[in-house]
Amino acid sequence: MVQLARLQTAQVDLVALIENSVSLSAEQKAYWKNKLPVLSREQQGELARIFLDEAAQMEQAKGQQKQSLVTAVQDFVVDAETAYNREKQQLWHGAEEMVKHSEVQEQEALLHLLQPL
Amino acid sequence: MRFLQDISRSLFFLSRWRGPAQNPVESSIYSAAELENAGQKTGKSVDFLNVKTAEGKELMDAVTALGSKSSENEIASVEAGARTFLNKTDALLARNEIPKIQNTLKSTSIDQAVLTRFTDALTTFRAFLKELYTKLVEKIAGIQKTFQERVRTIQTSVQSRLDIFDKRLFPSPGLDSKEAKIPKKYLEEIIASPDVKNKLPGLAAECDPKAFKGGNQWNEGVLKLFPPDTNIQEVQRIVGTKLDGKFGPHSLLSLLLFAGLAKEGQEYAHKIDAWKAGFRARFDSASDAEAAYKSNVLKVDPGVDKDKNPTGKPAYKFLKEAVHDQMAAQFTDASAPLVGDILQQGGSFIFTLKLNNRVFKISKDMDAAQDDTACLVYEVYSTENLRTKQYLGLHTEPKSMAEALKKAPEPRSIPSELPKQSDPKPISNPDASKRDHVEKGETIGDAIIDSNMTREQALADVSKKCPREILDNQALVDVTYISFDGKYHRGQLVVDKRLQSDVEEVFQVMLDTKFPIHKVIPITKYGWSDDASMKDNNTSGFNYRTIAGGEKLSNHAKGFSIDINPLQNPEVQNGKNNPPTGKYEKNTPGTLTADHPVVQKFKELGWTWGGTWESKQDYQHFEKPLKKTSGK
Repeated sequence: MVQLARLQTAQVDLVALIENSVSLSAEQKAYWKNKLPVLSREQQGELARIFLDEAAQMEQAKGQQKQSLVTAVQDFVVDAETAYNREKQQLWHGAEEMVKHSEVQEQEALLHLLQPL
Repeated sequence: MRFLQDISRSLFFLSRWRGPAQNPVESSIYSAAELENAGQKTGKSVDFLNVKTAEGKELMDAVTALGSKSSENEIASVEAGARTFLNKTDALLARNEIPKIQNTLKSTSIDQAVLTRFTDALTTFRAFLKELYTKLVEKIAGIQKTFQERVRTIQTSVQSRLDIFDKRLFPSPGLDSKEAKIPKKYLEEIIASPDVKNKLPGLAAECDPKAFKGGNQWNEGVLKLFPPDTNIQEVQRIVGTKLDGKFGPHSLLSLLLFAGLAKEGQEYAHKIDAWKAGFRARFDSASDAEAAYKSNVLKVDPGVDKDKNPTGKPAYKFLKEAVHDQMAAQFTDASAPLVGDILQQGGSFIFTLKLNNRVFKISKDMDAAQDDTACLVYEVYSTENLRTKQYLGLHTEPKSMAEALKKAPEPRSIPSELPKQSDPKPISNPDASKRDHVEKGETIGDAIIDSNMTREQALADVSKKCPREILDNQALVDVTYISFDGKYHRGQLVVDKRLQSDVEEVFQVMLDTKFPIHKVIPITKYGWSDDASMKDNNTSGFNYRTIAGGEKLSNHAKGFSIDINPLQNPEVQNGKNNPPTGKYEKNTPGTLTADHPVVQKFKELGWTWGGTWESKQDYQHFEKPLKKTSGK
């Protein structure tokens, strides 16, 4: 919306918009920058709108990508936690049993053994 | 991360647990001595486990990272953390650490069954975690792929919108809409006719009327249908009556029209245009057309019609002049002098008119000329000072030329991007005529002449060792360029005739990008001395000579190489420049760099640039060796 307002007041830097475009080759960027002087204000507005749309779409795509990545990692963590919960009874019951049945020195050793896990 | 907290809590609990050791196994196998012994053993193993403990801390950190980070920026480190964790557990398993630990504890009081259960549970958990990690990596790759596809869609959409916008700004009348509407019914008739089916069996397959969108789509499809030995008159007989000038010069229909014209004669200017388009499509250059006519490949030659072509010149030249005359005649009503050549660009002709110190570049679609509907003034600028050339604006499609000029917009002050002057001295060249004229060189049509030789003059006094075959292959190419004085110049370059179109394309890029060229004069002017030519910063091509310091023939000797602005683009070897007065500075105008559009264009056309050589950098040098020196 801010960009649109700026566009309406003709304050958008068209050269920067062209430069920032992810769709144009260097040659195409040069082409459009060279064309700017012969465009009317309306035509410049039209051109700006194309690049602003592109920027908005890119922003949206990046937002979706970020959300998907965050979700993927969160899923991973939740699944890992679930798996842990499933195994922990065995894991810690076994560990506690081992400790209970050990002597003090052995307990120390076991603590060291378990710590990495 | 509850499971991590559980680990911590459990470790805490274990570390605090100091209750009496109760042996649940009634028939204990351990005696006090054995326990003591075991304690000593485990005591020894503490060191070993301490090492593991340090590694374990890293593991814990990595796993903790999994839960604590979730922002986008940290996803990579999360992934790395997961990977580290798995690598560590992998290492533990791969090194058989657990069996080692089991062995270490074997002779202690610990119940081996319990230990086994514990390690089994650990292994299961780890395996499952690895599976999850693999899925995570796959998922991330999928997300990235989806993102890339999305970006490509956005790019396609932007390109498409820009194309439409561009065409609307600078339309090529007749290319799209007009042709798309008219020809279908005729086309269907033509394709359906048994004659066409027999003579041009590929036509129906190549040209499905339902898929017809007009424009250049047809050129490509249809050109394939005409083998080199096509008897054009036969084609003409089949389709000539169907077309009757109703189609533009841009499609197949233009080529069919081209055939039809032989029968009709050149009644209309737009038919000449179509014919020329056909020529150009079939034959790259005038010399090609001449050769084709002489060798009877090209059966139709308007040049033989003395009534229409009193000049007696070959077909291609005749057509060029006929179009020129036609255009000049058509616009006399504007009372404006025609400046320069008429250029053909696609289906339109571009010409330049000068009126009251204002230059109008005009694109006129020859097809639409018939009903006088399309005339595009696409560039208007003042001639007061070309160096600060002012674009005045553009106007599209007025009804007539006079109207176009009337509607041309008023000046706007927008600076141009002509090259900065690095060499303020105007070039000294005895060949340049009328140099005292103040406005000379300010338009393409008024270019300063640096060289105006005939082919014979350009090849005069060449080394007698030069084989006839090589000489015959050399073409004298007229080129227009902006020199360091900011003015248009016209020069000439000798290259192998098969490279002529490449050279023309590259010089067009130079003009488009306002890349300055000092001068382009055939090297005969310098007595075939490369040193003298380089010293004068001359751009040159053919020179029958050996490579410097050797006996092997240079690619220049066959017209396969070009040297451009030697002073700005010297050959650099072991810190020495050739020519010695040359200096390579990337930011100096007229200097070639790897990313420069001129270098890119050469590369695109299959040329090699000496600037990328390893042993020496020959920045001025471009070459494209062709296999056979004989003609096409």
